[in-house]
Amino acid sequence: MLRFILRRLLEMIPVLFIIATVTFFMMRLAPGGPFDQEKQMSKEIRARLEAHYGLDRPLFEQYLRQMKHLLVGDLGPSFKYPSRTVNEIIANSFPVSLELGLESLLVALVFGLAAGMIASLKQNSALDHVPMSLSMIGLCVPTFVMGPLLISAFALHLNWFNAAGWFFPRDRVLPALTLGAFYAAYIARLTRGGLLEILNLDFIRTARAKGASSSRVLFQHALRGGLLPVVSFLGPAIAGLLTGSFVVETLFGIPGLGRYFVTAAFNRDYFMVMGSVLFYAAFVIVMNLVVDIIVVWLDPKLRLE
Amino acid sequence: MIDTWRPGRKAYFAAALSLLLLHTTGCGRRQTLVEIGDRTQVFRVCDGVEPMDLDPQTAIGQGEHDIMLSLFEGLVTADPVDVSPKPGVAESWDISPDGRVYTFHLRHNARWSNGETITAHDFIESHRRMLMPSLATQYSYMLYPVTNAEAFNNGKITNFDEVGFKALNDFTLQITLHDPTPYLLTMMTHDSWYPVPLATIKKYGAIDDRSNPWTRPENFVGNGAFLLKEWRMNSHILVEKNPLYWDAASVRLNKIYFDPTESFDTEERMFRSGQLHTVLQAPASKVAFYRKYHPDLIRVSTLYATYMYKMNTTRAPLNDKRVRAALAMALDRRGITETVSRAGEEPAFSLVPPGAAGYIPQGRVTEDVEAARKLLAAAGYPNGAHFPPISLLFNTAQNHKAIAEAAQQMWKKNLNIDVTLRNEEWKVYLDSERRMDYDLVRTSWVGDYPDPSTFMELYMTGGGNNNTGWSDPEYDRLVTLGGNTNNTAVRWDAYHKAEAILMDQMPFIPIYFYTEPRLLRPSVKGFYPNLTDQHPYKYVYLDPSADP
Repeated sequence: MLRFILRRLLEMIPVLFIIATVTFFMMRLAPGGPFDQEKQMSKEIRARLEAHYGLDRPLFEQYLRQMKHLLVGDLGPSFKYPSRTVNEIIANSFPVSLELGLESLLVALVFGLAAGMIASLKQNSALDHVPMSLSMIGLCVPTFVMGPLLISAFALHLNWFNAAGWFFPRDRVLPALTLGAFYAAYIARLTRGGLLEILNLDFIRTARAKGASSSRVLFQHALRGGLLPVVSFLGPAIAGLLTGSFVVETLFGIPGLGRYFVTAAFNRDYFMVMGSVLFYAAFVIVMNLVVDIIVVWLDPKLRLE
Repeated sequence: MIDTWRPGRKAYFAAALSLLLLHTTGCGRRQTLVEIGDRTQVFRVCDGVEPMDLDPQTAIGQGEHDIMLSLFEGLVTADPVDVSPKPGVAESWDISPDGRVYTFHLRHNARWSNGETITAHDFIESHRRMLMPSLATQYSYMLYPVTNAEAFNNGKITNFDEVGFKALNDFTLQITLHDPTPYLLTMMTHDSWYPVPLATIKKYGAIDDRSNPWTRPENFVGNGAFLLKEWRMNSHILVEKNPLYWDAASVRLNKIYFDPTESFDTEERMFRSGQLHTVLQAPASKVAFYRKYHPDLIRVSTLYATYMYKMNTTRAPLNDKRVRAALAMALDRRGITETVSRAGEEPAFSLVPPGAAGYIPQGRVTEDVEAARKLLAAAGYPNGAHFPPISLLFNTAQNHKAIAEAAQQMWKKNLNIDVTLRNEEWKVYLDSERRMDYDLVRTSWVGDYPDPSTFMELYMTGGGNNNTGWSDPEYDRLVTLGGNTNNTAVRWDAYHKAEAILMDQMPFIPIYFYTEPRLLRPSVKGFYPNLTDQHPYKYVYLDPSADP
């Protein structure tokens, strides 16, 4: 197991290297630069600013310099926010995205698993059709529609929550629901499918014949196997919840990393783009590894391989 | 089939618990932040995106300006009603008869927030930092009227003693200009003239290092009516009343929250849910709604800014002034403002918006389709025949596309010419504009200070934002003359003549003068509409009785 983990971690290095190289050159090929703005600055000032950040040197030299800095974990200064470093911005904003992601994951798991379990136990009844229809809606409605709808109902109409912001515990509710809805719907369908398959197997019939209660059958016997598809989905889901939070962060004015991930590219904030891309890439790789470990632990067949 | 599952006692308990939880997390009608703020004099503002920094010498942008207005004060400040120059750190000033020497008398009780007295030397050191080539400040040109300021900024001279700043004593500052500059005092209300705390800046790094962290709340020293208390990126900036401010007795607000957002719609929803007292700009789609159903919550005021299409005068067919004039004359501006942009904008027929410093522009574009057709025919394109393909470039934002489509249709209908639309992402668009890789380009110009010179200088030869390839020595001469005389009659006459040249040559097409459709709670008092959208917070207060 340890060797498996070590090998996967070592594989990360070339992947991150390739991502960094592609990001560097793609950013530089895009027209426009960090110092282009509506009121244009004089040529002299632009030249001085470029010199300050080393952008006046040959491209390949800049590439080597940045790689050298990246090796020691120095992501450089932000052009857009001159008194901040990229490291600092990520350190301040990622915990917010992480919290939002975990809360959305909680929403997705609680609602998704509950709906999926009920639906699989009550196959082809109203308790199956209603949650599954709702989940279809959840899959179809994009966050930029879901968010304003929830805000309109619960913040503006009922005045239960603030329309945006990230100050009070209650400010977490609507963003987590908005971001979690899609994943809840997906998990509900995966849970239902996975459980239905398992519930029809011989060992379940044996358990029931031995007189096990329905909750014992579900939680002790069926769930472990039935949840495998859900667990495999969690890897991409966590990545999606954390990187895909741009829309939700903008809608709700949340100070997370997702926003920088997108606005840095618009601002041509080269170091910020590189920093956030590499950070997310490393995060997604690690998350996938964690999920793989859980899957192996859950599935005895894989453990042998 | 598994036997039927029925909710048991535990399930009912769980349901009751979750209801309770929902209740404690906040159900029921609550007091809004605005209502609480009205009673406690806590003002909540949204003026755009996250500020790049709060160093008045390196930070640029309207949102940054609004926040720094609470944290710093220059020698001269803007009047909250008509933005005319008012005493700030300077109690009074004298101007020499030739208009070249300004002597400012500083208050003896003006202090930094660390308790130190502000002296004339603080201002000189601040201006030196502003002009240091190594700091590369974008607005250094605001100080260029001062003798040798430009030379120092460009590195041509290195001895700052040669620049026209001189401390006659601790509380008297003399500024010498190379030419009389009638709008100097209005310019001096700009951030670039604010004093900065050099001793503090030195403590946290080199004074010419842009990444110096002196603006963090724990390091910050200012001299404005408010003090920086908290700054959480993309969340909020909190400033609190500064007890050491010389005029603290007349400051009525206790705190101001600045909440940055990236989206007009989010801001508007925050305003509606009672989280904000004011929002810089209502979304274009909601302006008409507010004006009709909630006129008490929206205030549309004219800004010192012009929306226009620049033309590349180095490319055919736009190198022919008759073609440029025809394009300008064939538009229906009122149609655009009333049916497309719809934020109460004023159709623009000149470059300079009227009103500032008492200047009324005279040169006007006439909307005359018949005359436009004749001009086009005279240029060799009767009824648009053989007109080469040209394109109109704009950036992906707001309603630029809708306005461009309207103009495209008007040109097709009125002149029978085809203009293709070219939509580019912001930075790509800026790059194309700078390299003059365009035929027509959407652009806007916002006055840096309320004086027509900030507009007139735009189209001078070699102007950093001219980018049209157009140049006229007589225009340059008239604009320079208008900027360097204290005689108002001579000034306006020079500008009128310069505008006449502009209207004859038409390197650009004015479309409209911007308005600011600001959302504002009725409880906000002392917050006046004005051309440059400056609202010094020392005059602002909240009156809960005005917002039932």
